[in-house]
Amino acid sequence: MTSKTLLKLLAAGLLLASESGHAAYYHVAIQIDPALYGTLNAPLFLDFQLNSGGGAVANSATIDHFSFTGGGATPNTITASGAVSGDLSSSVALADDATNPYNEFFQGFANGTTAISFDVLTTSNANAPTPDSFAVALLDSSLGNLQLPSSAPDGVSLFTVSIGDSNPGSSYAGVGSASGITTSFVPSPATLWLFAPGLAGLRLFGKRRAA
Amino acid sequence: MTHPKLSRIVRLSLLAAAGFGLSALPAYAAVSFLGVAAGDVSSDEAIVWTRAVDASAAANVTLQLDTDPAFSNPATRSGTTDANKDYTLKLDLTGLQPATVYYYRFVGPSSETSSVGKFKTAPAPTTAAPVHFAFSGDMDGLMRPYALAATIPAQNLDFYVNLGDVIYENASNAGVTTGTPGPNNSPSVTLSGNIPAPSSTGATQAQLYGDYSKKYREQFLPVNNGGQFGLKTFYAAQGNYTLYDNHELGNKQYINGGAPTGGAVGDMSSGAGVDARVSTNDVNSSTGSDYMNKSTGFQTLQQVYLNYQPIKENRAAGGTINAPSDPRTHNTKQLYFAQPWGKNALYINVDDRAYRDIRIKKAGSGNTADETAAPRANNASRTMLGATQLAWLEQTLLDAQNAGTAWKFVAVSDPIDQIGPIGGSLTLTGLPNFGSGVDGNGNASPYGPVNSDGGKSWIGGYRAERNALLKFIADHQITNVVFLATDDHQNRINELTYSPTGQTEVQSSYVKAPYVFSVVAGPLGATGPDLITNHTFAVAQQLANSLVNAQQTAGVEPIGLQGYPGLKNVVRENDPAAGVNPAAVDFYSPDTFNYNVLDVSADGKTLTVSGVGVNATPQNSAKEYGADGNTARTIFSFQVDAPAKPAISLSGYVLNRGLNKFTQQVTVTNHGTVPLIGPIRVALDNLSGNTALANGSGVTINNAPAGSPYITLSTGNLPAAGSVSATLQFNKPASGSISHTPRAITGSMAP
Repeated sequence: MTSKTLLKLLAAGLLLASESGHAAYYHVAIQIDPALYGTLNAPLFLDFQLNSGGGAVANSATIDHFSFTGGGATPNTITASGAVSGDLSSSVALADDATNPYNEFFQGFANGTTAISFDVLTTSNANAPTPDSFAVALLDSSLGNLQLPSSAPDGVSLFTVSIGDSNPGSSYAGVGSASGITTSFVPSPATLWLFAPGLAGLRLFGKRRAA
Repeated sequence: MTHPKLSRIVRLSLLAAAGFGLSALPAYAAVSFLGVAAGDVSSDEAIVWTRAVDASAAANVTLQLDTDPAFSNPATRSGTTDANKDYTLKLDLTGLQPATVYYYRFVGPSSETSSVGKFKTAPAPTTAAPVHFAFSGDMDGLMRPYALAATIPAQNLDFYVNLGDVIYENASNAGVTTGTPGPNNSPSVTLSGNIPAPSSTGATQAQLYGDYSKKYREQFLPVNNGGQFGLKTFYAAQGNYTLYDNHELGNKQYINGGAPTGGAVGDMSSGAGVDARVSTNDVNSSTGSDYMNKSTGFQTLQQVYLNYQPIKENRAAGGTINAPSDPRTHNTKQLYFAQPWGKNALYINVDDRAYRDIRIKKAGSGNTADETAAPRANNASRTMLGATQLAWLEQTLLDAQNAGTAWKFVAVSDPIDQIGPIGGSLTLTGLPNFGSGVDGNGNASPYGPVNSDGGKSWIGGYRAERNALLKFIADHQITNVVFLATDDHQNRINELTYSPTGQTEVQSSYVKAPYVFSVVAGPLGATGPDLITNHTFAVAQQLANSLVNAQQTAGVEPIGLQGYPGLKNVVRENDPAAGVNPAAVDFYSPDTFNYNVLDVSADGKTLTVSGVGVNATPQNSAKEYGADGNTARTIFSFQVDAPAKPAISLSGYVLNRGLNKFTQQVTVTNHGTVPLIGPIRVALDNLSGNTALANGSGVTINNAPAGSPYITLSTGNLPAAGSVSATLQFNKPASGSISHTPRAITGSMAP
């Protein structure tokens, strides 16, 4: 495949995604107080889910640009259920295969890890009445969720996206009464993020053809 | 040239002309018209009516119909008044345009012209349009010429509901005559025999027909030389929907169309029906034709009523209702119907006379008082509507709710609210002094507020069916149902209570039906209010307070809408506190002739109710409008905002490994301006079979569809702009995703 063809496909794909508004991008950062490792049932696991709400339109999520501070992902601790693949050392991909009750990926990371960050790109095809759900959580060594305060809507997710919501994404901070885990996310306007390079790519392609 | 909008009418008119058997016109003397009226108007159809005679002979007349009041380009249609229907004529106009004002008149062979009538067709059911209508009832000849009716044309109504007792059978003698026997010297109809002592000397069918026809005619005539022609101008001013009540049906046993005739006694000439003191007559379970509505006397009175009202008579296919499984209803004329007025309002016209069981009387020789106490009045089989109509009414309300129709108006000829204790009467104290010969301290008084629910009323004698209807409305969360009634000769607004458990005799089991209230209006001119001669606010307030105090003592919900969700802008003449601290008197007018005007806003969000009235005048005083400075004014008014449909939002499913459950957040938001009545619950319909709701509060029983798991989000009300959330927990499926359809349930009854 020529570079021209690759450029054309990339541009068209990005434009298609942006025109229908079918993508959302987030940068997620998780801070972990190292003192917590003395109280938590470590080692911990970073958990991703993409679950179908039963709607007709599929969604997918890609997580990449992982960064670990004070530790790192633990090889050979991956558990994958449903339509998932990947590794925290590179990227993780999930699809909302509705034949599975859930599509989940989790992998351990080293004790002493104080910060984890990554980027999330989800498609945003709305399904009614129940949206598809993307969620990030931490599991303890028994593979149970670290419980969040009752103020967190579902009690376990550090970060969730009800895909297709007009105001997607939420994060919850703190574990129990301990200060320790803080999650932040930065949603980016997916349309601009995708629309601009898409248009730029097509324009570049068009100019090259004209030339 | 034919008006393009009316072309179909013209085509129909040609067909109708053939049906009416037009022939060469004989030589006619001048045709005289009694009046005109239009009614049963839909978005494309209307009934127009007149009575015209030519020397007591049938008259050939031509209808002119135009959207131009000057009749510059009228469509025409011919007809002949019917000697067998007291020379009345009704034409069914079809092919009309929605939301259009039409003018009509009838023209005789020598260009004699009737007065001009006007009606407006309903907006299409998909059109968001304001609705402006009024209603009243109870026009007793004693109060002719019905001065207040003169003010109705200026209201420029979309329609008027002529809600029962449109004539009275009793004598009236107004004193000022236009002839003898003229409209003022009006004897009673020939009596039909009294209950419980059936007379064998009752009226013949011919007397019945003639006497009642005369009563209807008199409603169009003046009582003073040069004075108001009774209801003539009122009838012509707008389209009308009409109900009958007891006075059109003889005010004897014919008022109970579903009661057994007991054989030939159902005929006026030989008796008056079965004995209402005998409990075996309480419920008519006949499988045959032994129903009062099949008797010739009932049918005669019903036909005279239909002759004189602009009512569509062939609403049922084939002319009568085909309901073989319901012999009470089978082969009767269908006078009940529903008519949308645009997107936001549905008008429902009920026939609660043709099918009702007998108005029961207390046992004992010579005792004719109403029996409203248990066990007779509690009989769960007693019906006012009949099974066919009740099922139709419930389904009609449910369909309207599901279609998003904001307001549902149900016209019933007897009040459905509760005034007195079940099966008893209130003890009123602190009554005011007013008028002559009155002791205001509970001693003899010519007038006391209505203090009980008579055997004629829903809760007095038909409370099981009343309860079933209100429970259906509550269970199905049908909102903004407004019952319209007259008959009690006072104007009052009331919330409606019912027993969710069906214990209709246990007052403590009653709760408010959410977002439902009733408006009792009238009389337009009848006795009762005339006995109050002191028309000050203080007297009205004392009467209201006396009533409220007695109701509270009896555990009955007091009159008024205080605290009703969405109530605002309450105004009552001479009560500056009404808007801040509304009281019972602000929803009450016992001393006026009145009608109520109802306005639905174009967006459907707000209903405005206004009570318009004049001080009641003495019987047979023949007062013209404005005499003695007695002009119409707004007695009270208020607005009610419609609650918004609760909005539900869901998050996606997340596997909670600690619980080994899937969780999902559900949020109910009130986007409206009216609190949603709690508890707030969400039911999950069609929950996929691969899971179950693990933290549900129960399973729906009353709220269809039944069998759906539900969760309670909050026990209290949900304020305007508020929201409430809960986390659903689902058992982990072995395969496949979870799915369901969430449904919000509000209100206090068990879901």
